[in-house]
Parts: sequence; structure tokens; C-alpha cells
Amino acid sequence: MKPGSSELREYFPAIGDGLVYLDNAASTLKPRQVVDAMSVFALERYANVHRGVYRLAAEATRAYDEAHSIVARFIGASPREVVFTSGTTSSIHLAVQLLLHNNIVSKGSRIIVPEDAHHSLLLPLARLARYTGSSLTIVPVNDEGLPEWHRLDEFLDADVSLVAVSHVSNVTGYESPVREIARKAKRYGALVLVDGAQGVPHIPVDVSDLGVDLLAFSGHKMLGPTGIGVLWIRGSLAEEWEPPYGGGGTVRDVSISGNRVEVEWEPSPLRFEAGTPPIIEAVGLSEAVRLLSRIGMESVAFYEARLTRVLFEELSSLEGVRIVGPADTRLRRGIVSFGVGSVDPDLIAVLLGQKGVAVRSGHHCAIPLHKRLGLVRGTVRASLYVYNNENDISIFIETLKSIINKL
Amino acid sequence: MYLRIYVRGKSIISRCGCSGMGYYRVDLTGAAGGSCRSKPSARLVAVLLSLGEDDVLEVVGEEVVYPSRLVVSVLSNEGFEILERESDGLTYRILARKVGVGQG
Repeated sequence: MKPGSSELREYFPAIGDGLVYLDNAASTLKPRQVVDAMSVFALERYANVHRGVYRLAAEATRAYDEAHSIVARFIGASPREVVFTSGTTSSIHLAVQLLLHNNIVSKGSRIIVPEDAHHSLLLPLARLARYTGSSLTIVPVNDEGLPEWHRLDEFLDADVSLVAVSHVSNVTGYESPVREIARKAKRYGALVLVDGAQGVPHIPVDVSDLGVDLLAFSGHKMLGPTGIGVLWIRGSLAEEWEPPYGGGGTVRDVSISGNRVEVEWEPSPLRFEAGTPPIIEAVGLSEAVRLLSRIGMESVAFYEARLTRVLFEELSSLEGVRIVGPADTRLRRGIVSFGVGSVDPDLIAVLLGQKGVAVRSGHHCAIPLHKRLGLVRGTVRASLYVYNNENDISIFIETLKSIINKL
Repeated sequence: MYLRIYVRGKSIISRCGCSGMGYYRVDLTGAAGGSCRSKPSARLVAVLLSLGEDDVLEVVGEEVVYPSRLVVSVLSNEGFEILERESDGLTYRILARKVGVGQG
């Protein structure tokens, strides 16, 4: 199946109804297969997992475990390394709690994080630093809004316990050189945490090749449902680390001896999935991954690169439009954010929306980056996915042009 | 930037010569923007969607950030007729009445 083909677009009833959906960095549309799989599972095959011994529970458990395997294969991992959460934000928070509870980040150590980080990455790390008495080192962005990762050597030393990186910026679409960053961080024994929310859905990702330790991403940005995300934890760490949250399904044995509670944890991922997990959502996510795998992530990335170039070039030709991020479209992944003079980005998005073009506007949860770029009101963001085509871009550009002409 | 919405009595409605059911005001002026989940433009849309036929809306705004031409387009797209429009080049006031169904 080809990206952008009518065969693929038919899976998404919303775009057959005059909608040009360019808000994919916020959340993607859902294909019929995902909705159908969740619906059938919820109505006919649902039970809690890893608990009941009746047939329905066993089958639900198998479906849930299979979802781990499908997602693991998708990123070149082992199922034991794949922890289901409620989304990227909760994945990053889980990662932060793991770093805290296992004394990876402690007083006197340093955390490196880029200035373009999404608040979901920046804020938990800032809190972690404050809580532990460690400090943040911010990798500044240049005038294009790209983190100056080439200066990483300046910031690295033996005190650095964590390097955090956004795989792909949700504002500029810039793909950070994660492999290179990880290689440098490892020289100093630092762990590497990747916010993969805008990376995994768009680029082939093989965690063994990236050389990182923690990777967070969401289901709803890759054709899957809301309410499920993934924290991939490198195997050796996953087996070694104590979970920050104890609860149902996380333990093999618990004993009380006097006033002391002894716990024997389950292996990963169970030890990290306290309580009833997102079971129906896992079924939906696995269906989404199946579809993406059928298309092929190499194909997805290649197709989006071409569309991104068209989108960027068309936008660049419009008078009064200021695009943020790299001018070299080879460094971008499906995202183009821009401003129109001094006009409120939300007002532009309202007008586009009234004509059936859905885009995001505002700060995209990256206020420091917008401040740095002097865009205090934020930007309008057009973001692509596998079902978009050049006609979508043409409609978007023509609509935007008609809005600008009114100024 | 902040936004205020007022529901007022009939005296203002009669003043603008309308027989509408309600009068609403949206303020697109001010110094600071709203938060991620509380944006003036988003609230404008929310108000537009909540209005019924013959309801009257007054929009006060700043040209540099919320150009009146664009705001008039927004209103027209949502089935409003413009009753009054005045601008001093920096700020403006638009009075509009809901007369039909919008494109949304």
C-alpha cells in the first residue's frame, strides 16, 4: 500500500468529507481498522489481563502481550523492553521517576536538555533537577530554532547523568542527530532519553541502532488511539531498575516480616505497568502499527520528505510568511510552522478551519523556543502524515493565500 | 491578551435596532495572550458557535494583531451580517448579527 494513495485515504472517512487535515503533529486521524479492532475487542473479547484464568481473560492477555511484541518489532526491540503508558507525557514522567528512584540523577549531577524541548520533556526534567539538587544544562538553539548539538562536547563531562533530546521538534520539524548525541553521551557514561513523539511515527526507528536508553512515544500520533503510549527501556536497565510505582500486576511475591514489606518484582514490562493497563488501546495501537508496517516506514519517511519539501517551498513563496526552522528541508520531518506578519496565529487557524483546513496554532507546548525566536504569539503549524497528498497542500496554500490577500 | 464575554439586557439590543435575543461582546484587545487552553481566537469561535439567529455580537479589537478584515471574514463565514464597523486604524469595533447558518 502506498502513502497518499486513494486506497489508503479510504481508511479515513473524515478526509473524504472535504477535510484537509494538517494537524498530525498534534494527533493523527484513526483508520477504520484501528477503530474496528478496538470495537470488536471491547465488545466481544475484553477482560482484564494477567489476572483471570478463564478463557476470555487468557485470550485478552494474549492480545495484550501480542501488542507488546508488535510494537517491539516496530522499533527493533524486545517485548520486555516495551512498557505501555498513557502517552508520551506519562512515558517521560515514568522515565523521570525511574531515574529518580534508581539514583541515576542525584545531587550534583547534570541533565542536558535542548531549548526546543516540548514542555512534556522540559518540565519533568526541570522538576527532577530541582527535586534531586542536580542542575539543568540547556543546549541553546540558533536563530533558525535548531539546537546547537554540535556544541555538545562543551557541555559534557563526568557529572552529566542524562542527555535528553527531542528526536524531531514538534515546532520546526528538525530531526536531531540522535545517534551522534548518544555516541558522545556514552563516552561520559550518561544515559540518553529520547522524546520520540514526532520521530517514531514518521521515521524508521531501530533502538539498537540509535544507541539510546529510553525512548518515549504516543499511540495517537501514529494512527493509534489516545490513552496509550510507550516507554522503551533498554533491556539491561529494564531488568535492573526498580519500578517507581508498585501495584497490581507488578509483583511476584510480597511478604510482611514484622514491620517490613519484602517485594519480589515481576520482570519487565510487568513491573512497570502498575494497575490495569490500557488493554483496548493496546489492541488499537497494534493494529495501527500493523498498518504502518504494511506501508513500510522507509516508504512513509520518503513520502513525507517529498511532501514536506513541497509544503515548505509553497509556503516560502507567500509574501509575509515567516517560516521557522531549517531552510534545508532535508533536515525537516513533516512539520512546517510559520507566522503571518503580526497577525494572531490562532486567527489564521480559525479562518483556515472555516474553509476545512485543520492546522494547529499557538506555542505548541514549546513556549521557550517561540520566545527565543521572537514569536511571542506562537506560530501556525501545518504537519503532515501518511494519508496527506499534494492536493491537500494545494488547498491549504490557496486558502492561506486568500486569507493573506485580505490583509 | 484577554477576552471577555458579556450577556447584556435588551437596552443595548434596541439601541442597535435589532430584535435579537441576546447581546454578546468579544474583546480582542489587551497586552497579553491567553494560555494554551484559553486563547482569544478560540473563545471567539466558541462564542460564534453558541449564538442563535438574531443574536448580536460586538467585537472590539486591535488591527495589528486581529485585523478587522479577517475578523469580518470569520463572522461572515459563520453566517453573520455586519451592522456597524468603525476603526481608527489601530482599534476597531464591529457589530454583527447572526442571520444564517455558518460554513462550519
